[in-house]
Amino acid sequence: MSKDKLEQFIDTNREEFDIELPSLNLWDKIDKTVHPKPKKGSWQIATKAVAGLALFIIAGLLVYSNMDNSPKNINQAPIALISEENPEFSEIAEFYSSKINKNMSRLAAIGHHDPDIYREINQMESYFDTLKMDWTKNTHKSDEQLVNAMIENYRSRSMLLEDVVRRLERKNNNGTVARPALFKH
Amino acid sequence: MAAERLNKKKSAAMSENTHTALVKDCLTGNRKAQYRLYRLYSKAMFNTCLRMLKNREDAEDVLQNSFVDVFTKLHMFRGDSTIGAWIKRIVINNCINFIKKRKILLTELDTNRIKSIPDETHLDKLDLDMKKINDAIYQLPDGYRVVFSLYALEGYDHLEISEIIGTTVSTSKSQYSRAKKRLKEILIDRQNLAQNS
Repeated sequence: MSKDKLEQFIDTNREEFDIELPSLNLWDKIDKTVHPKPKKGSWQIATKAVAGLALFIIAGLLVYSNMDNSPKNINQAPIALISEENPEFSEIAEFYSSKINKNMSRLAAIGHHDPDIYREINQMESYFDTLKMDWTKNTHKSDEQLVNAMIENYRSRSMLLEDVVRRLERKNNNGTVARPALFKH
Repeated sequence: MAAERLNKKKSAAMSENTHTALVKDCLTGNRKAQYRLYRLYSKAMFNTCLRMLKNREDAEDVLQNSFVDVFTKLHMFRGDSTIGAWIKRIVINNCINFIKKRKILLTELDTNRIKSIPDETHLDKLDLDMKKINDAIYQLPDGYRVVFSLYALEGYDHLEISEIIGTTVSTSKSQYSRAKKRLKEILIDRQNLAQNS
């Protein structure tokens, strides 16, 4: 049975039929199911200090979740994995993610649609994604540099957004706006 | 056509030889390696799920469960096929199970809607376009869409399809033939509509 025109067209262009992408946080769900966190030691050996610390963390998380109603940063694929091997990264990632999400929400609330800003943020996010992929490929020797580059990327995104939001809010108050230095020609 | 499919499978097998080391790393529970394997196949497999299930949320659920299956059953991979083919079979089986749970009849025939059978002469006038074909595939009734996707896009033969969906080879062939005719009909109808408007 020879192939007709339609079948030949599909064969020739097969890869172009795969155009959709799954959500970026799907990996975290898979990873958490495949590698569930081991249970902590028995309650009998837990000291008051540990219990106190746990309470403090829960309270902190509750405050955080109440403060941040914005959608989760979708660009978090192997963050849990990186955090596990670099505990200090976890805190920093959470701090900047929360800040970035809050400023993204503020930007959306202001109703600003300057494509330059979103393009810049997207570029920075793409670079962040590249760093994460590099991290999965590289040996532990270069982990520190990559993690530092990721932190730097977080910091730059956060500062850029903070700057843009601040200027826009000032504009709304004064009726004028100064474009962020980054976008001056 | 069988030779063509065989050649395709051979070339795929050669390119996937490079993934042998990755599979070995995944078997040790290396999460970085597992993420890389996921990145290699998640896009194609997500589109496979989407064509089978037609719903993004369902497709993500099945994709998630499928990759959990992949990593927890990887020790059962014997290398009889490529790792890509093995993953695809898990994904397809999970899609079929999902569809069966929703009680969608795979034998749905929809013969009444086939008004005419476009031949190659009609097709010659048809402006084939990837997006138009993709959209038309999603318009196919579930039973047709599944068999059409498995044969024309996933590269399974009718014997394999009959095993996957639990039917006979002749049913798979007739279902595919009807699906293809219906697809052409949708494409021609849409083209006529666009030309008349």
